[in-house]
Amino acid sequence: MARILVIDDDLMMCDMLSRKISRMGHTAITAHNSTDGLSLARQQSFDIVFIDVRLPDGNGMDIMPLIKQTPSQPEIIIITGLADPDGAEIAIKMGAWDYVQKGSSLMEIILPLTRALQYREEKTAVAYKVALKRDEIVGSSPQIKNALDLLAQAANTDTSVLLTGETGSGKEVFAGAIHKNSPRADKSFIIVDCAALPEKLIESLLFGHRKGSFTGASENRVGLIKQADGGTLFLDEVGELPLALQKSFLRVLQTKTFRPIGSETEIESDFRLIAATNRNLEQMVEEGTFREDLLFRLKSFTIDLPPLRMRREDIKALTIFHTSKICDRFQIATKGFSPELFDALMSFDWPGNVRELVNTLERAITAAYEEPVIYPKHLPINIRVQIARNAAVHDAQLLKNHADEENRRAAATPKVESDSENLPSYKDMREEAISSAEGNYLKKLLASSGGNIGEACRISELSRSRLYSLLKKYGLTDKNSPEEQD
Amino acid sequence: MKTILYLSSKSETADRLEDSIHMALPNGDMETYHTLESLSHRLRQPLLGRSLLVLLAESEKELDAMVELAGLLDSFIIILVLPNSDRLTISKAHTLKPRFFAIMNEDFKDVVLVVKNIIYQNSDIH
Repeated sequence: MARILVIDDDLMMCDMLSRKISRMGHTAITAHNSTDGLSLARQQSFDIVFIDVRLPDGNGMDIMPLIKQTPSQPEIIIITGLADPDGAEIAIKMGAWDYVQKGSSLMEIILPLTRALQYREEKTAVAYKVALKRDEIVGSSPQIKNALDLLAQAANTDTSVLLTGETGSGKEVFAGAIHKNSPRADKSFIIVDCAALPEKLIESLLFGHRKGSFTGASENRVGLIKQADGGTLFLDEVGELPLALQKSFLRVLQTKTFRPIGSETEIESDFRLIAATNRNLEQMVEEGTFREDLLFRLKSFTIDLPPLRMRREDIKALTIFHTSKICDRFQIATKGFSPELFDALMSFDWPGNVRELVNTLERAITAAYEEPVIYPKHLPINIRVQIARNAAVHDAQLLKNHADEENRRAAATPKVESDSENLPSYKDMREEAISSAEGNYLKKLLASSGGNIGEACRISELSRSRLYSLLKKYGLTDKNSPEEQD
Repeated sequence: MKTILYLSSKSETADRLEDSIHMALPNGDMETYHTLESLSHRLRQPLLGRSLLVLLAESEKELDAMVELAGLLDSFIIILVLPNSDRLTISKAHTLKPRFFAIMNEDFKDVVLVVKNIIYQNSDIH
């Protein structure tokens, strides 16, 4: 499913295109001026962008190069109310996929969209298969594939990336993979762990300092921002960056220049920023602990990493990969797995995500040191207890559901009288059942034949006289009787 | 959280660093190794949880040897003490993905602060 942005102030056009795009199975998002359109293109990922030439706040062609530079690098289709050959030439030279006049039929606007989507799908598939170094990113769930698609897009651009996800979900691994797949791969990947560094150290570590600029500054020190020159700066746990420093860092992001502490001179650093957090930065903005302008800058391209419990189908592949790696480190033969082990691992919620799974596997391998196969009994006791508790809750829920279903069925079924005196004779019961079935059948027959006796005879394969006799028996020959309609 | 300290010699720098780490972790779970072979052997044993590794490289050669061990180090939180602040040295150090690095001629007050902070931050994880 592709994502398509339509930037046009013509509401009718937006509506028509959106409905057509939705019917094609894609997602359409609309903006009605160039500012909103550009902002959306910078914040979200799009495959195709339709841009109207005349927009209330300027010429749509002016934002085309900016949109092409956004992380998803969408194909652009220019739409115009008044086509002119010069405009078409300029659009194509600027890299537009096509230039279409609005007066054309909707199909003529949709055709280039279909072609552009085909091209993009093939291009992405080739790039993904050939180029992406996955590093330790293991799994084939739709969630991880989606994150990998975004990783591939991010690696091909130079924009800032924000990685969000729970502790242990692999943010640092993803950051490293973006760097390794980017044109900056042969330069440094510098980690700044905002949670590990005490507040009073972060500023001098980031910006560097001149000798004597403060007590303890016994030597000049090159800051981490400068060390990342040409490479990637990974700001881990960015939510912990002190508020006072956020303003200075925002300026560095905007200008790529900064002044080391105690220095008179501004220096430059051409770095690419990747930030990561497990905090809700929007909420921090509301609480006044994180700057909105910095957040806006950081989230220009966001990759949200799924927690492990949301991609349980990857647990088996992760287990095999990390078991092999741990056994390699321990210099022992790799282990086999009992089927019950995978069942157990997949039933656990893994609040610490992949990191917790890896720690658990290390403990299990240690417990099974001499044995060739890992069983659930080798898992740490706290994990086994939790798995057993989850299973008990699950079983209890199944039993409850079963009991509820039985009760529901019992309530819906007429009670069978246990009193034998109330039972009818077999003959009476049979006649009553037949009468009821015949009456219902005849009502349905009349309904489906529209009251046409000829048609009713054809469907029921009854003779006309027999049908009339039955209709009379069940009181179905009133003033709207089929006789009058036949 | 376990802390593993590597110091190859009995130099003044090594003594200062060891004292500083003890100061940061007065009752901490700490192991000290004096050769890269013994360190490497330890890293191939179960660690059972995330651990902090403090490495003192007193020469370029020693740093190179640590880089050779990179495959064993990727699950650790690493603090490095480097022989100098040359660009090449620092660039090499970053391949080990340290959370913090200091230079060996500095006092290690910052190292103490960072170690304390890391231990505190990781104290409630699993």
